[in-house]
Amino acid sequence: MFFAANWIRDYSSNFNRNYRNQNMKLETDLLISYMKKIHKIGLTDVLYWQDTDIDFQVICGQIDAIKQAAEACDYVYIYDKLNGELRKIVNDISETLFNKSAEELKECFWKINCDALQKRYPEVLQKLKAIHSEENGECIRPYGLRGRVVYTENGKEESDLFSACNPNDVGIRTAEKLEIGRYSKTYVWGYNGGFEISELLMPDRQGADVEIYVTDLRLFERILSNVHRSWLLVVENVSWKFEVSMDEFLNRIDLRDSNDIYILVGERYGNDLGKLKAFIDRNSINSNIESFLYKKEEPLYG
Amino acid sequence: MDKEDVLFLKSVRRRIIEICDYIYKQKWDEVYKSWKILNPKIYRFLKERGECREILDYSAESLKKGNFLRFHDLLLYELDIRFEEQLCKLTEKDRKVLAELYRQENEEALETYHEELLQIMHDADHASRITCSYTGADNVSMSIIEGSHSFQLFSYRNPWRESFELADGMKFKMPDRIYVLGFGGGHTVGELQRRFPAAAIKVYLPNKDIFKAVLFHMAEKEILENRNTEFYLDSACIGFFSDVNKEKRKNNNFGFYIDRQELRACTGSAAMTDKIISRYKKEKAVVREADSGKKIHDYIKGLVING
Repeated sequence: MFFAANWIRDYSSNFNRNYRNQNMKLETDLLISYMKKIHKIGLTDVLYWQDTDIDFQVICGQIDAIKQAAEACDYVYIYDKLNGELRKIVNDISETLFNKSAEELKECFWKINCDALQKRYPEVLQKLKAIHSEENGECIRPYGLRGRVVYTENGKEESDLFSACNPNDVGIRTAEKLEIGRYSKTYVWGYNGGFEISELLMPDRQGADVEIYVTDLRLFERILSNVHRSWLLVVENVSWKFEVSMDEFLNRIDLRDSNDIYILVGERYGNDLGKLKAFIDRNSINSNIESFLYKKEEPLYG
Repeated sequence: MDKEDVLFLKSVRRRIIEICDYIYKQKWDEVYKSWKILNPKIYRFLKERGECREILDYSAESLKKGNFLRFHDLLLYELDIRFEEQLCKLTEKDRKVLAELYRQENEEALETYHEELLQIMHDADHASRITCSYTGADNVSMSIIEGSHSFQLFSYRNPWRESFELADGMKFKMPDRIYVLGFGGGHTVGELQRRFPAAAIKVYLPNKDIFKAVLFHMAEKEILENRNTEFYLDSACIGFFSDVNKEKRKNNNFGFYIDRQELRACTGSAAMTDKIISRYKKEKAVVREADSGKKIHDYIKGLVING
C-alpha cells in the first residue's frame, strides 16, 4: 500500500514537471493500475482501514474520472485531480500507515536500503549496521509521508533535510530552480536524501553524472532507516563516496571545465563550508553554497 | 465573504506560491521579507473571522528556527489548502453577484483602455460550446465542449499555481516583447505582467466567445488596465504566427507563449494541438488545420514552444 501511494505521489511530481514544460504525455494506464491496487488493498484489508476516514470507494470514481479525462486529453483536469483529490487520498493513506505501522515500515525501508547498499558498498554497510544497532531515534520528526523526516540542528536552528509532504516534488523544483541540469557533472557535498537528484535522472535528461559525498555516516544511517532510497543507491549514474575529508573532496573535483560542473551542498550545518566556499569562488564554480552560509541579519520574531 | 475578502485570499494564495518559489531557489532573505509582509495580513484576516491561527504560529516557529522546508509544507499543504476550501465554499449566489461586479469593471476597463474590443461585450451570444459553472477556487470553472468530450480552460483548484508553473516553463529571460496566443482565464497573462513589468505583452485572441465568457465572470480589470498589454482579435491565429515569425527573422529579444487550451478550442482537436506544439518543439514548419477544415500552412522555423 505504501509503495502504491508513493508511486502515485511521484507520478504527480513528474506530471507537474511535464506540465510546466508543456510535455504532455498521458501514461495513465500505470496510474490507473496503481489506483486499482490501492482500491483492492483497501477493500480487502477492511479491518486495518475501518477506523479511518478513507473511503476507498471514492477511488473508483476517481479512476473513471481519470479515464474519461485521459480519453478527452484534458490535461488540466488531470493536473487538478493529481494535485487535489488524489493527493489527499494518498496522503491520508500514508499518514495512516505511519500512524499504525511505523515500525514495520521503518524495518522494511532499512532492509531494502541495506540490500541495495550491499550490492555496491558492502564495506559501508557493515559500518552502518553498527551505527544502526545504537540508534535511539534522535533527530527524527514524528511526521513525514514518505518516511519520517530527519533533521539537523545547530544551536537554536533546526532544519528538516527534506519535505515531509512531498520531498520528490520539492527536490525536482529545487533542482530546476538552481538549474543543476545545465551542468554535465554534479558533486553533492552532504547527503540530505538526494531528492534533487531525481530531476537529473529523468528519462529526458541523458548522461547525468553525479557524485554524492556522504560526510556524516550517522546522518546517512538515519536517512536510510527512515526513508526508502534504494533506487538512488543503485542507479548507475550516481556514485557514492563515504567519509571523505573536505581537502580530499576538493582534490577530487575535476577543474578542467569548471563552468560545466555544479557543487550542490546538501547539508545545512556541515563543517568546513567556509573552505568550500573559498574554493568555489576561486575557481568560479556554480553552486548553491551561498544559501547554506546565509545568516539572517535580524530576528523576525521574538 | 465579500469581494475584498475573495480578492485578498486569491492574492494570498499567489503570494504563497511565490514564497515557496523562493524556498526552491533557496533565497532565504526573500522568504523572510515576503513572510514579514504577508503574515500580519493573514493574521488579521483570520482574527477578524475568529478562525484558528495555530497554523500561523507553527509557520512562524519553523521560520524562526530556519526550518524552511517545514515552513514550505505548512504554507502549501496546510494554509493554502484551507484558503482553497474557503474560496471553493463560496455560494453560487455570491459568485453571481461577484460576476456582475467583475463584468462591469471589465467593461469599464475595456472602454478606457481597449475600446476596439468593447463590441465583444455586446455581441450576440454563440457560446454554446462553453460550460461555465460557479465552482472552484476562482469565481467560475470553464470547460469547452469538443465533440463528445469537454476540456477545462484552466485549473479549478489553483489557476494561480498553474499559471506560475507555466510561466516557469518559459525559456525567455527578460524579453522586450511577449506574444501570447489565447487569454485563457487571464491567469497566465497576469503572471507574465508581474514577472516582466517592462515587457510589452501582445495577446492574440483566437476565440472571441471564450474571451467574452471570461470577461462576464472573472476579475480581469487589473490585467486589462495594464498599459503594456495589447489585445488583438485573431480568429485564425495568422496574426500571432506571422508576428512571431517576423520577430524571429529579425533575431529580436522576444518570447512567446501558446495557451494550449485556447489553441485546442481554435483548432478543434487535442491531437492537432499536440501536433502543432510538438512540431514547434522540433523547430520545424507548422501545419495547422483550422476547425473549418481549411489547411493553413505557417512556415515558422527556428521556434520552440514557450519562446
